[in-house]
Formats: sequence, C-alpha cells, structure tokens
Amino acid sequence: MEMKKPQFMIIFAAIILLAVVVRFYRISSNPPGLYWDETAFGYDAYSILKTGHDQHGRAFPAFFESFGDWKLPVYFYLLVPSIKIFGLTELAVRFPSAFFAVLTVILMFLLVKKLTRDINLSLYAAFFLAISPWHIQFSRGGFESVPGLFFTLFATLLFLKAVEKDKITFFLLSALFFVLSMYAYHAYRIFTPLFVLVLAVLYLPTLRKVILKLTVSVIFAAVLLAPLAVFSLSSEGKIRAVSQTAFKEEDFQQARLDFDQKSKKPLRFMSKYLYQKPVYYSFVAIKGYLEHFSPSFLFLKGDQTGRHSQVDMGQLFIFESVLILFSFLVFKLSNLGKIMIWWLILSPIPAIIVQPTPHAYRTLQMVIPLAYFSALGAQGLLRIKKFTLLKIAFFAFSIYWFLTYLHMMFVHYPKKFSADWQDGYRQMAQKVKKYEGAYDQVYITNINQVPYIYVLFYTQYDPARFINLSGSKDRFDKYNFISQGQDVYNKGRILYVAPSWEKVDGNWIDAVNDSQGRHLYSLWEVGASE
Amino acid sequence: MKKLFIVLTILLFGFRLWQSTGCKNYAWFKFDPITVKIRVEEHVGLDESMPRQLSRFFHNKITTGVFEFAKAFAKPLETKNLISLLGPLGLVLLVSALGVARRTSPFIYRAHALILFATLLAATLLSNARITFYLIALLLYSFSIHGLKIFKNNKLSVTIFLSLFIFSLVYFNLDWQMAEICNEIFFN
Repeated sequence: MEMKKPQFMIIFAAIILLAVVVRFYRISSNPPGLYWDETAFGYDAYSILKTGHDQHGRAFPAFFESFGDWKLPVYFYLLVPSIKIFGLTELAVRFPSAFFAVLTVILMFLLVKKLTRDINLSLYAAFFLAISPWHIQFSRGGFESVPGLFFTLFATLLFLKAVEKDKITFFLLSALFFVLSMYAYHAYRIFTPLFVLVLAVLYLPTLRKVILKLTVSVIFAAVLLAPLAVFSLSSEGKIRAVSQTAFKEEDFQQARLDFDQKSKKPLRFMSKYLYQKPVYYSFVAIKGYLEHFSPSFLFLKGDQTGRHSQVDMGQLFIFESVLILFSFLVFKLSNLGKIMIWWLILSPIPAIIVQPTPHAYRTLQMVIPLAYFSALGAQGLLRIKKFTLLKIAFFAFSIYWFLTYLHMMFVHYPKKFSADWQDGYRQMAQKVKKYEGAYDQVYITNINQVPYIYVLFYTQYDPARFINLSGSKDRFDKYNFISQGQDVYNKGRILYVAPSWEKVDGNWIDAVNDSQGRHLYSLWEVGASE
Repeated sequence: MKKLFIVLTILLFGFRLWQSTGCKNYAWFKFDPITVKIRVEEHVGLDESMPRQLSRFFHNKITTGVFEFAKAFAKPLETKNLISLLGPLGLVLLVSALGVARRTSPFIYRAHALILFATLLAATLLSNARITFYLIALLLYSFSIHGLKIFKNNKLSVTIFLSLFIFSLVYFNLDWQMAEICNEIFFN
C-alpha cells in the first residue's frame, strides 16, 4: 500500500527523533567517563584549535601520535569545531559521533529507497538502524568508526547516483568520501577497498561506458590516498596491527607444542607436517571471521568488552534473530540484495588480522546489512495475512525487549561498566585542581594508565605551555605521574594522589570517588613535617 | 562424480565422528534453570534505587528464562562448534543446504530442518551429553549432504570440493583435541 506524504513525514520524523533521543540523551554522563582515546582525541583537537599543533608539537598533522599508537586524523579534525562550540567537555568529544550516527540513519533510508523505491522497506531499514544497540553503543562514545561508517554509506549513495546520472562530480565526490572513510578508522583501510571492488564488479557493464570519468575518479582517489599508503607502510602505521596481530609466532609455537605434548606416538610426529604457518594462520583467521556470525555474539552475549556492548545482551536484539531468519526466506538477489550480502561478507575481514575476536568495534559496518535484513524480515512478516495473534505477541515482545534494553543502558550500564570508561579520572582531576594551589609538586599514581591526559583535559591546561615545556605522559609542569612503588618521600611538601588502598605516611586530605561512589584514589599531603 | 563427492563427504564426517569417540566428556548443551535465578538476582541487584515492581518488570523469571533458554538452544549453533564439528567443507555444505532448501523447499528439506530444530530443542533438556552430541552431529551431517547439490560436474567444482575436503582433513587433524566438542580427550 502506497504511503501518503504527511503520513510518511510523520513516521520518518519519528524515526529520526528516536535516533536522536537514544543517541544524545545523557550523552555526557552515560557512558560514565571518557575513556583514554576519547580524552586524547579531545585534548589533541583542543591543542589544534588553540595552537595549530597536536600535543607532541606537530603542526596540523596528517596522523596523530597520541599515546604512540598513531591514530588516523578524521575524528581529531571533526572535534575541532565541536570543541569550539561546546568547549573542552564530554559532550564536545562525543557530539560528532552521535551526530554522524543520526545522519547515517537518514542515509540508510535514502540508500534503500534509491535501490528499491520501496518507502516502507526504507523506513523499516532506517528504523532498525535507529534502534540498533550495536550502532547506539558506539554512537554514544567518541568512536572514529561511526563517522567512518557514515562516509562509507554516503560514498556508496554517491556512487549509485554517479552511475545513474553519469556525472563526474558524483564520481569524484564518491571517491572523496570513500577515501575519507579510510582516513577515519583503521578497519576501513581494509573494508573500503574490498567493498569498492565489489561495487565495481556489480556495476561493471555501466562503468564500462563511463571509463574516462571513472579513471579520473580513481586517479583522484589514488592521489588522496598516497599519504595513507605511505603511512600504512611505515613503522608508525604498522604499530597497531603488529601489537595486536592475531598471527603471533609465539601462539603458533605454543599450539604446536601443545599438539606434541598431548599427542601419543602415532600422531606426535605429524605436527611438523601439519603445523605449517599458512595453514595454522588460515584456521585462526577463519575462526575469527566466523565468530562474528555466531548467534551468541549477534543476539545473546555480544562483544565481551564493556565499552563495546551491554554484555548482558547481543549486539542486536534477540527478536531480530527471528526477523533476520525470516528475511532469508523473502530475500531476493536484487542489486541492493547483492550489495548488502557482500557488505555483510566483507565486514568482519578487518577484525580477523587482530585480536581479540569477535570485535564489535572493528566490525561496526555490519550494522548496515543487518538492519536491512531485519527490515526485510519485518516487512515480510507483516505481509503475511495469517497468524495475527502470534504477530501481536511478537510485536509486544519486541517492544518489551527494547524497553529492557533502554533500562539496561541507562540504569545498569553506568553502574556495571564505569571502570571500562575510566570513570573517576574526571573527579580526580577536579580534586587536584582544588588542592594543588598549596603545593609546588603534584604526584599522581599512573596505576590506571595515562592520567596525564585527564589532567590536561579537565584542567584545560594551555596546550602551548604543554608543548613549550616538552610535556610528556610522565611529567609536565608541576605534575608527575608515577608508577606503583615509586618513591614519593623526601621530595619536599607534595600533593600525592595515591590508589585508595595504599597506606601513605602523610596527612590524608580527601577521597576521590567515581560516579557510583566507589573510592578510587586518596589525596595525601606528604612531607609536611620536612 | 556426484557419488564420489558423497562418499568423500561421508568419509570425512565419519573420520570426525571416529575422532570424537576419544572424548571423555562431551560439550554440555543442557539448559540449567539455576542460571535464570542467578541472572534475575544479579540484575535486580543493580536496580537498588528503583521500585521493586518496576525492577521485576524488566527482570523476572519468565523473560530472563526465555533469554537464558535461547542461549542454551543456540549453543550448538555457535560457529566455533559448527566448524569444529563440520570442518570448512561441512560448513560450506551446511550454508549451501540452507540455500538449496530455500530455493527448492520440498518436503524432505523441510522435514529435515524441522527434525534438526526439534533435536536442538531436545538437546537443551537431555541430560546425556554423549547422546545429545551424536544426535546433533548426525542431523547436521545429514542435512549438510543436501548442500552437495551446488557442486556440479565440472573442473572448477571438483577443484573447489577437493580443496575444501583436504583443508577439512588437515583441520580435523590439527584440531584433533576438539576443545569445543570434548571437555577432555583420551586415546587408548
């Protein structure tokens, strides 16, 4: 049945409103703290805004050294206007992510509409992306992959437009946004080229007719990608992949040793023939890949990292398992169908070369085809004339489950996963700011890693001064960041921020609690009697 | 050629079943109702400042029970369990079988799929892990055989099939301890 325009407008606006509410509501306080990378993004962007240099003193860098893990640039530069508007706050750091997430919902509608001309299906697809726990989870944090996904989807839409209109502008814009996705997050350095290749094969007959425009666009993309290619081949570009690789020599040797030790004679000698690195690593990769399609990961338990999911439920709603299964029955191999199938097949590939798997963040791009299949299933289910009662029961269960999800996200999550978000660092930095005036030196435990970035962020420390003083993660100005067991005595009268459980020979000043009231640090005055 | 494909597939699955006879204990798929109680209490504990009725609306034995039961039901379908049981060839065949069933959908496929579903359901209730394991294994193997339809009588099909067959054989040997299937393995 054809939908009337006012009816469509109301439904579409309601979906967008829903997407906005679930992504922006209490975004500053839930997740309950800024995790390390978010804080680094924020301070580096603040530094760019104030000085034109990152915290390491590089002018408008193409790649950011950050904690030595060398991050891609897009999110940093997206944060600059956000910080200009909202100041150096949690909201500013998370705003681009949530904002692009809402835009992705709109693009989802446009993509399905473009390829199917089916308004209902397009609305369903936008709706399932709007309520996707997987997408919401990352939209509410400062995650680079969210704008990366937006760029990929936008580039795909522009590519389809280019093929349809045969205009070089659309080809060039499509190339630009595909390239931007690759500069946004590491996973897209692998996913995007593969996906573009698939698009090229799917639209080969049309592309053959516009070979000149296509060549110009490819050259344009290649030029834009040159710095990324150089970076990827450099030692800095490989740091992340090398440190987290799934193909570790020691794992291989351990598995081989394990095989030998547990095998009896007829099998033991076989390890030298069976254990060939390419074979072993192929199995590691296959297992890692398949885990992303596991029902437990998708619908029941999700990624077990607290930052990546609610953990007590899947990356998707359990009721979507029924819809996705049903979509299998009504699925047609149309152009959109092919794009979505390939999108789904390619999505987990970036995650299999690194550990751990399954990894919801590196495979965020899966949300697009999965939302489409949920939509397809929902539409197919609603088209069935029979089983009205069953359908009502299913609908009621789905609403109930969505409400439970909201309850878990807003009530349970901040309590359960505060440690995953370094909750307590903000409170620590604020207390330090309150008491530091009376002391020449401040010593802060780095037991929870990189406290320096939180002090910089929450005290809004002048980036120019930090750069001029050659500040580092161990020391800047009067702040010293020390590891456990390092001497804090005989340094004059100092303010010492110690772990809550440490017994310090000094005067206790104050406690630092996280947002749930858990005691994390104590502030001590040490050396007052010297 | 078709017959050769069938024989090789049966031999491959038979080899895996033979390997599994070394298992001392088998993976446990049974639904344990105590998990429901634990989960409800765990969640209610996080709702300390919330009215009890509201907390119970979200965390009660019925809905938590459905969710925990789904976890037990889906356990044999975890991809790590499937690859361990079927190997790469078997997994390709299983996916193809689903495709064949969808396309042709004759009675035999539907019946087969229904029996498989019923077996998975029964696995959550049966206490004997060995029986459960062999029931699921045999049904998955027999259902996968339908997937052989995608391998045609040409060079490419033969090459792909044989590559997957060898790959699976190597995998079964590498993974002879079957950590996903056996809790412990011994050979006499």
